[in-house]
Amino acid sequence: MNKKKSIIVLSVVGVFVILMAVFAVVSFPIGNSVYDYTGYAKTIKLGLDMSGGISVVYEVTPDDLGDMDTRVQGTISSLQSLLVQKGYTESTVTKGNNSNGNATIRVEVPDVDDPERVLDLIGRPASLEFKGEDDASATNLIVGREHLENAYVTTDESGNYAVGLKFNDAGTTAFAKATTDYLNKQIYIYIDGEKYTTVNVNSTISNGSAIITNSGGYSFQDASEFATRLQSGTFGVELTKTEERNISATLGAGAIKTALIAGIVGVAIIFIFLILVYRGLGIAADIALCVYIVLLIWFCAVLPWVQLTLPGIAGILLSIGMAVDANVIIFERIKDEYSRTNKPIITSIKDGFKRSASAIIDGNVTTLIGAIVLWVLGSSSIVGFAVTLFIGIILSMFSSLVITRLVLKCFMPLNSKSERFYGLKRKKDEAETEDENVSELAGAKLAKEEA
Amino acid sequence: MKKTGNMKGFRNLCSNFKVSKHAKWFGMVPFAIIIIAVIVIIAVGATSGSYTDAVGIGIDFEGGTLLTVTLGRDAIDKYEENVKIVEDALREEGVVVSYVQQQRADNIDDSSITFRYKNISNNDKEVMDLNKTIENKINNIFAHIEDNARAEAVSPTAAADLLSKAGIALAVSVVLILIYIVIRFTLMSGFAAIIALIHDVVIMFALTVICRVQINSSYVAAMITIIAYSINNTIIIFDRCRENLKPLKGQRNINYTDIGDDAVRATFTRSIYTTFTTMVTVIFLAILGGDAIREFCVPIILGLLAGMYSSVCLATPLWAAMSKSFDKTKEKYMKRHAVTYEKKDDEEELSIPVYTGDVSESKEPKKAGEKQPKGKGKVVYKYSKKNTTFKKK
Repeated sequence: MNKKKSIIVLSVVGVFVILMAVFAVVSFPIGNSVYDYTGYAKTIKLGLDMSGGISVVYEVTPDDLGDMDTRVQGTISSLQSLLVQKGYTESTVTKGNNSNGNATIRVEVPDVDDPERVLDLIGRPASLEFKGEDDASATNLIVGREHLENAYVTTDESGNYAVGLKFNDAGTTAFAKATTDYLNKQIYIYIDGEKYTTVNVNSTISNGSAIITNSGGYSFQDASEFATRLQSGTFGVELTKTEERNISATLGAGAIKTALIAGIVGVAIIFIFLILVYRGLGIAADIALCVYIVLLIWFCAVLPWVQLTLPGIAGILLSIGMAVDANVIIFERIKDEYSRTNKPIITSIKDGFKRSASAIIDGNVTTLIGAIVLWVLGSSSIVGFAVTLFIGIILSMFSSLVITRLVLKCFMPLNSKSERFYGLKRKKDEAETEDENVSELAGAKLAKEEA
Repeated sequence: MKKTGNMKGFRNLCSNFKVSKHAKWFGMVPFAIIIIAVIVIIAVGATSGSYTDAVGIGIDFEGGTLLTVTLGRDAIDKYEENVKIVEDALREEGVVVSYVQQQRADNIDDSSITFRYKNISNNDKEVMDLNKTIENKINNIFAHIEDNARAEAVSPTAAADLLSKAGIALAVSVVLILIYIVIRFTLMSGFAAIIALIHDVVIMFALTVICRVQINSSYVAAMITIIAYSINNTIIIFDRCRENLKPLKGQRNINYTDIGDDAVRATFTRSIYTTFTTMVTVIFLAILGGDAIREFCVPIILGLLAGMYSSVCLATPLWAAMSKSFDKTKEKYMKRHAVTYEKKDDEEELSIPVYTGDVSESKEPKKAGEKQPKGKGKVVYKYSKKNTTFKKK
């Protein structure tokens, strides 16, 4: 790499960081269109603890089907998984009791201002009925609450979006009977006593799972809305909305500000610390950390599972710590290489990277294993944390092993000699290390032979 | 080659630091912490009668009461002020508020502030009585708005399966991490790392109890953070051990203790720097943040310290001791089998197989060593690896 090339590479990295940083925070209207550009850092979804959201309370209508508690619990977990599916991993669904003595279900969805949006997410918990005639008072073939287990978006054999249905045992029997009785006729889907849609029955379905297709296919949006509406009809209990409120952050209004200030101050201290201890190497690390930070913020903004909460922030802090750590490991190695041997700076740096790679990779992979397992097996709020940690670790490896190295490579043509700049020193008392002892012995032997 | 004494003295001091020398003392610290924690739990548990209180299980796991105080416009305009009034009133009743939230309704008159607090006892009647008292008290304070306070029981917000799922996930990841370490390092490294990890979890929990910090759902994440961090720390030191071991591969009576001490020394600067750089942000968060944030940060700080302690002071001496005894057992086992093998050979008057494998090629660390004379003549190991060859004599 020559001087010119390295200056170009360094400038590209610098411009990238600055542009990413600017686009993270600024907002402006996009010319000649109705859309506004919003800085991507502002689009990071925040959890209930950081930003508040919407709280909706449903009252459970008492019925005489028995085993109420189990069904309420079932409804709570369906609601929870529905919200996680939609990317709101930090929502909470809790059970309570109101003054009428009825059970209530409180749904709190973070980072949403409009209650209507919550209803879009969890549907409008309602009664779902399949009927054989186009008449609200006709007998029910299928009752969502009793027969339907799940409704989801899927594709048919030609790849168009469709809505899948999964029935429970009782539902399988009922649906088989219905599709036999109404073969080549129509079944009407009623939600809350009003006709929602009409479906043609083309074959008898006796295995308990079916898909609903549309000639020409549904758009994803339509299929998704249809599935959500059906799904909210599968809840084991009947719910009536009693209250909806905007709620503030549980950690207090200043939570985000506090976290931001702490983050900025902490990172600033780390930057200064690295430069003080490692000088030129520290500058390279700081550049790599800048790249790391802007990329991390960008990923947090674009990945759907990230809903930043206090634990999520801890995940980020930890991964920043690990990114710094990787740099420290490399630099200690470089220092070690340089002091122990007579290698020039450029070779010491190269070998330092080479010899520290195994430690960094092994250390990060173990953490990565943990993050993946938590992602796959953890419940809602743990998932968000695991995802943040996962992105953080991957990026930290990238920044330390690729960016720091690249920047240092670019430094070389500009300055490859200065011990002062890189903060490196040769060991004066060479006889003390084991390696030196060996060479000394060898030297003695040689001397003897010569004699 | 003797240079200035001063310089050498200093370096000797640094380079003579041996973790293994003080391993016994290092090992006692965690036990002392655990004992203190147990005493705290028993003492608090016995006086308050509730052991979940003694451990500090928070509202997220236990549930409690949600007090809604409807104040209309005042809930928004005079938010801070009113929060303080209600919190003070609740404190008089012995209730400590965990979360406060503003609730803005479409109809501004319905806006309210909610307070969540842990019930002071497990007796439903007592809780109901207290909540009635609190409702009346708050109603009197804000007498200009009719019927403004409403207390209702809330279930834990942390989904019932949060803990069990997190537990399962942790167990699975520990097993996978163990497998990874065993593949990349040695069996004993794996065990030592996992023991250090368990130490961190236990000590972090013990310290949290001692510091009387409440355990809420964010605590689970804090603990996972620490586990991830500490295992990383341990691995870095083990990587040094692995590197130092490389040239000694195939030798007998390897001085694991020295190798471990050396690795700890070599990585010591890094351990200090790293713990500092990670902790700095968390400390600022704890200083600047409110109670709830502090509740989360303090366990992390404690955990980071525990994690560093275990990686530096415990994991390596443990690894050294375990590797040593593991090697010894293996050797004994092999010798025993070698003898029977030799005898059998004699009986059958077959040519005695002699080990001729090159030391440096050999995968088995037991074959030969410079420091140790080969001892009782030709010992033939039945236990052999692919690089070891048997030859007719």
